Amino acid sequence: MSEMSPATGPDAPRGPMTLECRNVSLRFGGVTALADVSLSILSGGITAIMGPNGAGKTTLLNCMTGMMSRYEGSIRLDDVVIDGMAPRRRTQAGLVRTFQMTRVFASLSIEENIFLAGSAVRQVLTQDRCSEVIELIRLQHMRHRSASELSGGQRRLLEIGMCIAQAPRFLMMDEPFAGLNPMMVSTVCELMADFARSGAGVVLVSHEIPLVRRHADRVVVMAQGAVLADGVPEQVLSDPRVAEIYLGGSVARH
Amino acid sequence: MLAAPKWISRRRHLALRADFYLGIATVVAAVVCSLAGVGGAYGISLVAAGLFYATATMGWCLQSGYGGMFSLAPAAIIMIAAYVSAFASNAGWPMGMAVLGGTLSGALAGFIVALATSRLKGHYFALATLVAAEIVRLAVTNEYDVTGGEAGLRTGPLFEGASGVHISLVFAGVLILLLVALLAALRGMPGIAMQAIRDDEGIAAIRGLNVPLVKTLIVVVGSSITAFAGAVYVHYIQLATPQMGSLFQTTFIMSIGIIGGVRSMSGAIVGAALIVGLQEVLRDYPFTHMGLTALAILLVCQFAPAGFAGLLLGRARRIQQRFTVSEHAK
Amino acid sequence: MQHYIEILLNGLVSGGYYAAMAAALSLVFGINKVVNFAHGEFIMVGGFAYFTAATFIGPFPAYIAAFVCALVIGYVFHLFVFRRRSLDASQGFSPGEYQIITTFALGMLLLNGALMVYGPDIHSVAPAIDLPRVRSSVLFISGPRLFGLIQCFLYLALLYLFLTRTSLGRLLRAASQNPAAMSTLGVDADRFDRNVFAACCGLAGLTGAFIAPVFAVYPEAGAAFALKSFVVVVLGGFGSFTGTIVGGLLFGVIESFGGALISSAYKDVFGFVLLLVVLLVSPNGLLGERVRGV
Repeated sequence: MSEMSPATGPDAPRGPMTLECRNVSLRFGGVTALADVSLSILSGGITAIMGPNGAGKTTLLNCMTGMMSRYEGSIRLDDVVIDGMAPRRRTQAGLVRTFQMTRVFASLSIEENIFLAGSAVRQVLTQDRCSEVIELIRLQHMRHRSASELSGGQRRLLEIGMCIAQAPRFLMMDEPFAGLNPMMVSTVCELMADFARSGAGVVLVSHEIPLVRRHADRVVVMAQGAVLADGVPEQVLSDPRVAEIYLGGSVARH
Repeated sequence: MLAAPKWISRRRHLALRADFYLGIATVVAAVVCSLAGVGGAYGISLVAAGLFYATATMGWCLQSGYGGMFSLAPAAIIMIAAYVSAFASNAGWPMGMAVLGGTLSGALAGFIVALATSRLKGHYFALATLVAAEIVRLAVTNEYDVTGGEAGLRTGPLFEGASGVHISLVFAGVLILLLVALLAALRGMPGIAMQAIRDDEGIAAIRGLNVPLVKTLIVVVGSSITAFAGAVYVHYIQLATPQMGSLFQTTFIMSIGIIGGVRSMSGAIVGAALIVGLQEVLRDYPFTHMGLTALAILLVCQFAPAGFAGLLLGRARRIQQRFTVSEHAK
Repeated sequence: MQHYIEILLNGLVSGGYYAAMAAALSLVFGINKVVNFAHGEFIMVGGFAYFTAATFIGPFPAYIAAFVCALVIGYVFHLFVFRRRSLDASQGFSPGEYQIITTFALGMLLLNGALMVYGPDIHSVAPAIDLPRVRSSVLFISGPRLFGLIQCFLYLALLYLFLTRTSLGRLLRAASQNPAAMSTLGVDADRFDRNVFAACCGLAGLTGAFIAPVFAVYPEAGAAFALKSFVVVVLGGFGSFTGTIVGGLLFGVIESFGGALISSAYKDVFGFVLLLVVLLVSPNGLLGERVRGV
C-alpha cells in the first residue's frame, strides 16, 4: 500500500466540513418517517446512526443523498443548501452512499465498476488510483471478474470501493456489515477508520453495537423518526432509554 | 490497433475486438462481391441495398441495443432524411450539403423524440416512437403538393455516373469508420457508462453519471447514422417515397438488428447480409420470407439473445480457447 | 347544430367499436403488464377464422372458431416464448424489450401467415343477422354496422359484469392491482399469466369476428386495429376497464370531429397526436389512477 492515506485521492477533502440537517421532516401519507430531525455532522470522524427498524435511519440517508426530495426543512453541506439538488449533483458535491441491498453494475468487472464510479464525479480516474482502491478493498486477485460473479460480501466491498474511488466528503454506509465474514468486517472497519482519519466524514448506519462502540466517535440514536440520544458512544449506549429500545420496548416520544 | 485502456477487462477487450473484426470482414466481403460483379448488375444492387440496411440498422442498434431505448421509428428517420436530402439537392444544393442536411434533419427528429420522451421507458417509449413515426408518414403521404404523395419525389444521383458499386463503397467506408469509432468508444468510458445505465439506471445516476445526457446523445448519434443511410440511399434509387417510412420498413430493420445481434457492433452488418440474402433466396415468396424472419426473431430471442453475430463470435471464442489450452499443455 | 349532433353520434358509434377492439389489450396490460404488439393481428386472425368458418359451419359457431383459434395461438405463444423470461441481463434483453420484440415478431408471423394463406385481398363478410338500416335526421347506420355495434355493446357489458360480479373477475382485478400478492396467495403465477394471456388473445379474436362485417377482413388490417387500440388504452389509462370504454368513445368522437371539421385526410392523425400528448403529459393515461409503488 502506498504511503498516502487511503482516502487521499486527487481531490482529497481538506479541513473540517459539516453536513447539517435542519428540521427535516418527512411523511408518507399518514406515517411520519422523519419528525423534525436536526443534526450536524462534522467530517473527520465516524458518526453512527442507530435505532430500531423503522426508526428512519435509511430514510434520513435517502434525504441527505437526494433520493427522497420531498422532505421539509433543509439540508446543508458546508452551509450551502442542497435541497434542490438531484442525487447526481449531490454525489458530485461529495455526498456518497452505499446501500443496504448492495447495488453495483452487474455486468461490469470490478475494475470497470471502480473506474466508472471514480470517473463519474471528477476527472478520469488514473490507473494507479484505480489499482490502489482495488487493493484497499482486497479484491486485486479478481479485478477482472464481473460483478455478477461475486459473493454478497465481495459485492459489498466493491460498492464501498466505488464510493472511495469517488473521494467523497461524506461517506454514508447503510448496514455495511450485513452478510460479511469476520475478515471482511475488519477490512471495512479499517477502511472506515482510515477514511475518517484522512479528514472525510463517515456516517454509519448499523446495528452492530460492539463495532459501533469500538469505532464510532459519536452515536446518534433514532426512534420513530426523531433523534432520541446523541453523544459519545459510552454515554449514549449506556443511556437507559436507548437500552430499552434495543431490548424491544417501545419508547414514547417526549 | 487501437490500444484499449488497462482497466477494461480482458474478456470485454477480446469480445469487442472479435466483434470488430467480424464486422470489418463482412463489409470487406460485400465490397469484394460488388467490385467483382458477382451476380451482375442485380448482385451489385443487392449489395448496395444490404450495405444501406446495415448502416441504417447500425444506428438503430446503437439506440435500441446499447442505449436500451427501443425505438419503433427507424423507418421514419430514414424517410425524413431521404426527403430532406432530396429536397435540398433538387433545390440546387451541392450533394454533400444535401446529404449533411438530411442527416442533420434525422438527428434533429431523434433529438426531439428523445427530449419529449425522456420520461418514458420501455413500452411507452416504443409506443410513442411508433405513433410519432405513423404521424410523420401520414403527413408525408397527405401533403401531396410538397412531397408528391404516394407517387414520391424524384431526385438526382449522388454524383454523375454513380453506380451501385460507388454507393456500396460509400456505405462500406462509412461502416468501417463507424466500426472504428464504436470500438474506441465501447472500450472506453462511453461504453462502460452505457453498460452501467443498462444494468441499473437509478444507481448510475446516483453514482454521478448524467443519465439523461448520455441517453439523449445515444439517440442523436443513432438517429444520425440511420438518417445518413437514408440521405445517401435516396440518391441511389433516386426516388423518395412514403413507403420508406412504412411499418414494414421498421419491421425489416428491427429484424436485421435482432437476428444479427442488437448488442454487437457487427450485428447489423451480419444481420443485413442474412436477411437481404434470405430475401433474395425467397425472392418469389416475400410473405414466406417475412414469416421465416419473424420465426427467426422468436428463436433468436429464446436461444441466442446475442444474435447471429453472437453465435459466430461465441464459436470463435471456443475454438480460440481450445488452442490456448493445447498450447499450455505443450 | 344538427350537423354537429350527427358528427357526435357517428363518433360515438366508431368509439363503441374502438372500445371493444381495445378491451382485450387493456385487460392483458392491466393483469399481465404486457403490451401486446400483436393485438391487431389477433383481431385480424379472429376475423379470418370467422370468415372461413362461417362458410362451413354457419355464422354463430364461427364466433367460437374465432375465439378458439386466437386463444390457441396465444396459449402456444405464451407456452413457448414467454415461458423463459429470465435471460442474461448483459447479453439478452430486458423483460420489457423481450415482450416488445416477441409480440411484435408474433404479429409479423401472423400477418405473413395470413398473407400466405389468404393473399393480400380484402374479403367482405356478411353479418350473422341482417338488420335493417337506421336512418334518421341525425344518424345513418347501415345494417351490418348496427349489428356490429350491438355485438360490441353486449360484449363490453358482459365483460364488465364478469369483472365486477364474479369471483374470478374480482380475482383478475385484484391481480391487476397487485401482481406480487398473487403468488403469495398460492396461485401458480406462470400458469395464471398464460391463461390470462391466452384468454385475452381469444377475446381479441372474438372482437375480430364482431367487427369483420364492418371493417372487412384482410391481413394488413391488423396494424390499424392495433394503433387504434393503443390510442384507446393510453387514453383510458392503461388497464382500467371503464377507462377503456370512456377512452374508446372519446377517441371516436375526437376522430369524428377532427375528420369532419379539420381534415378528413388526417383523420387518423388526431388520435395519434392525442396519444402522444397524453403519454408525454401524463404517462399514466388521461383517466388512469396514479400507480403507487409499494
